[in-house]
Amino acid sequence: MKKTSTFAALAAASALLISGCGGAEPEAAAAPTATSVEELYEAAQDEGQVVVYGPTEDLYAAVYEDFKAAYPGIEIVTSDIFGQELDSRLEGEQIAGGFAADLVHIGVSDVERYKEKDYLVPYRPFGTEDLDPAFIGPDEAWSVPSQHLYATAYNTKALSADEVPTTWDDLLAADLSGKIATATPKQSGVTPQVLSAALEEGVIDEAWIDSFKAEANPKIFPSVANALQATVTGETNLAFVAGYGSYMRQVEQGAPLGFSAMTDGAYFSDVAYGVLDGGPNPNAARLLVAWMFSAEGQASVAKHVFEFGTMPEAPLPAGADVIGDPVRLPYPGADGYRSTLQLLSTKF
Amino acid sequence: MTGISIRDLHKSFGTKTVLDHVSLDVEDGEFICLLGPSGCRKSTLLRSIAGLESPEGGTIYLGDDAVFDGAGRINKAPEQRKLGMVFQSFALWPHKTVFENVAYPLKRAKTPKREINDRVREALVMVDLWDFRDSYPGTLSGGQQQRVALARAVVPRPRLLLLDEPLSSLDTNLRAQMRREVRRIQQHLGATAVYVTHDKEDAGGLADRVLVLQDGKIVQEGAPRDVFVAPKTAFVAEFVGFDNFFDATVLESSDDRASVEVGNGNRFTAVTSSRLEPGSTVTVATRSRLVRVEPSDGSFSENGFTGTVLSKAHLGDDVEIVLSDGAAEIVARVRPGYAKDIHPGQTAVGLPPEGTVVVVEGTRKGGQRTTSSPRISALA
Repeated sequence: MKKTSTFAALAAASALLISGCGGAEPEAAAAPTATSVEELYEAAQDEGQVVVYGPTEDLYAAVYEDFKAAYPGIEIVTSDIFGQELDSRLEGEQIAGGFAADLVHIGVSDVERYKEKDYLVPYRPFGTEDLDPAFIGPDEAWSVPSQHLYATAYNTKALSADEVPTTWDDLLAADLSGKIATATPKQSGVTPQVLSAALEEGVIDEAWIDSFKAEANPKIFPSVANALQATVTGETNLAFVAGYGSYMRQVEQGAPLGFSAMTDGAYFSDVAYGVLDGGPNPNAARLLVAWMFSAEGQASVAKHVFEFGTMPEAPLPAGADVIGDPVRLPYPGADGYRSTLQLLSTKF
Repeated sequence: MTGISIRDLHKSFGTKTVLDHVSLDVEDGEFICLLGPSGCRKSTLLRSIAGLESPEGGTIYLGDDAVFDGAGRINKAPEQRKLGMVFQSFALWPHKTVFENVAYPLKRAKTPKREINDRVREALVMVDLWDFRDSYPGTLSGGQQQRVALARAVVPRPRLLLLDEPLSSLDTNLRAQMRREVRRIQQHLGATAVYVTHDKEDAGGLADRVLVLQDGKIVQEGAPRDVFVAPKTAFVAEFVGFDNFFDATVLESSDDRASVEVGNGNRFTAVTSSRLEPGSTVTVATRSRLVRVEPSDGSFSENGFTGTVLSKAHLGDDVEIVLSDGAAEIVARVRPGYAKDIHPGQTAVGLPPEGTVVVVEGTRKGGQRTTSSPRISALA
């Protein structure tokens, strides 16, 4: 876990705390009553910090610096944690008397689970009147300020612009056979999630999966990152699936990569914030989520983490204007995802 | 501390039963292990006690306190059950010092500061980590981190200590050391403890009583030695290390011993947990490590027969000898120094009288029926 300012300062503060010099330790906090962002900020200053758990919090450091510049006096303590480790952490906190964190910042499949466990408290962020309702969870249990885009990245030295696949069927083209890198489709992760989204929307079918396996003959890698790296080095011509943020971070380092979203269906994955019930800093938590939907917050996620803001008029991440306007594939749902995983386990 | 009483606890996911009408009692101060392979639902049972899973019916009492009652619509939240829990992943806060990690439950409970200091000190002294109170978890070894997790679990003086595979991420040596530590702390506190594991050494080294689960059901319980020496079902036998299974017919039986005959006429004495009907067909199991083998001129006075050595293979510290009585195979594992005297051809084989058991026929771990074991179909 780390603060976006200096960890050393936190350590020093903690040392003071245990020697009896005071400090803010988590206790069950009163429900916020603020009716505006200004009131939230006023109350949040008494709390002084917000604690966020999620899988991409290290990447979000620059975004959180922008928040702190907008709202001085509110520190953000993050923990880059996900999966079983996150589940155990939250369960341990629950048993110990209450959550030590204020927010979870994760994909929809996880916030769905946490809602079922009654971990989340309803919150509709200030300033989201114009937000597409699809980005607010049921009972306002979570909200989605941004999305990852997952499609394909290609090696620009191996493929020219007119050779780049722009539809799902293009991925089956004979001249790409054996030249596509993919993460193991049958292991839970973003690759089966993208395939599931395409299957659920009818963009592809089981026959497409069979052809992809037999004709495209992809090289299988342990992870999406490995598949992208293989494309950077030229071992393969194209990575399916690649995240736009990962692609851009490679490009910033000089990698010879281009990005292509299939026009008939590109998967935009929701990145949600859920407010944990009884978290120690409820006002600061709500303030941070509200800021993520503000013009400044939307610009910050586009600039620093190359995510796509969900608010109308949100700016695109750098370079994303070339992606065009593909059909957006929504989250396939837990049942759809599970059945796709079962199907893929028989195919790969 | 307090005891646990569970009655008729059940839960399913769709058509799949995950807790199959479980009932059990745990005495105040008793240490029990829920033992079984992955997927047997031992963690689901533990998590139901903790309030992290919601059963569909049945009751859970901690002492006189009904924390779950399906009919009475009682389902207390985990934090209201007054228990401590240790997870496999430690679940420590890396940004908090050791002291702060342990103090957290007390601070949430608004315990006075002086009392917090006293109780955290007491807990950290108990796990021998007081000198590390200002350290951060990331600077500690895995064993030390798990001791911090233990201290955090016990510092609020819970009435029950739950441990979910807490030693799984530790290496073998550290695991043995921590096993002793866990037992020492539990005894020091007099705590009632429920420990989930798939590791037989953990169960044997820690528990007053072992409960083996299969498909969400307790299939055997008893003192570790009783479960490990005299498993009652084929599933338990295989899980605790029995690896030779064969069909037999009961000739005669008392309450704890049975004389059985296999298809080729060989007769053995086996341990049984109940009187068996003469003429009934049963499954007999034994461990390859307990099968005795002698050179061709040897013999065994009890449970002996003549077999043929089919193969010998070095497997780590042991030699595996595959034998046949002419119709079926049986496996023995012996030390290399001993195996050098065993040569292809006829040899004397002995099944251990105290280590050959009659088990209830049923589905074993791999889904095999005892009667269709690939290794021993029958000594017929």
